[in-house]
Amino acid sequence: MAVATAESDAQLVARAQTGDQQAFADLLRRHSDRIFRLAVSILGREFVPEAEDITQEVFLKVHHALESFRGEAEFSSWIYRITFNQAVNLKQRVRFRTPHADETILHQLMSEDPGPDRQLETAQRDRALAECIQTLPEVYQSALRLYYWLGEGVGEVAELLGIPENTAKSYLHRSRQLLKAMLKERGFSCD
Amino acid sequence: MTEMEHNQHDIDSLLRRSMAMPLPSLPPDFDQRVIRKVQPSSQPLVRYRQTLITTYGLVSVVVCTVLMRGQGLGWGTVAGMILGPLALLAITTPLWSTTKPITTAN
Repeated sequence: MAVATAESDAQLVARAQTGDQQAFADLLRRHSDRIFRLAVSILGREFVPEAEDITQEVFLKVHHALESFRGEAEFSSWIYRITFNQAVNLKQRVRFRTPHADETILHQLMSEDPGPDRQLETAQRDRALAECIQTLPEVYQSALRLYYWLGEGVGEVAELLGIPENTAKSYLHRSRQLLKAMLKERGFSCD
Repeated sequence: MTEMEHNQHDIDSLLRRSMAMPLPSLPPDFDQRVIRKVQPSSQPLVRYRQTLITTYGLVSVVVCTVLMRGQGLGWGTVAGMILGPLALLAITTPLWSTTKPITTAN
């Protein structure tokens, strides 16, 4: 029985470097979702359209620079690095722009709490939490969103951020520690 | 559960609850859009070729019509002689296409 083996990134890159558009399309199909998730984890959920733009820009950049890619690093690490830099740069530019959807409103839409008092309290705490997250270093924020929102495992968080797994664990631990302290300072409990 | 994990259990639960929101995803045609964007250099050439072929076809039809009418053929015959081959071409062209399109589907 013939078994179709998926080509490795290195093989697809080698073919794409010779001008094979199908190989580039395969790389795009293989990595576009993860690039998008990484971008959205850096920009936050209020800037999903921007994350889509970043994903497109990354692939246009990759297509343009593919000839100069020598394969010294993994292809995935290379594009994750490009994505991280592009998204962080964009975030600096959109920092003061009104987001497409406020995080608290988004949460209220999801909330199933019956009482208005409880709902208000939850909304206030979530708003405070969202604000606290914004004050964390970029890489901590990204790790938190990848892990808690996008449901990635610690291994995937490490791979996407280009860090060892233990470092990813440590980032998550430190983030939780900082957030807990910040919420306490603002008078919110974590229960 | 280690003491460290126990200490963070509450904030861990809060983060899970607070960040549980719909996952965004790329539009279904995203890959095709990118593919179109990375091939812009060939598009003007394709348009130029299409214009050239269309112009050639129209001029041919006019010249053939004038010549065939000059030979005393009726309008029905002229129309049949021109439209017949065109219809045949339209039917068989898809069968000739050997160029494999770039696909992004699984």
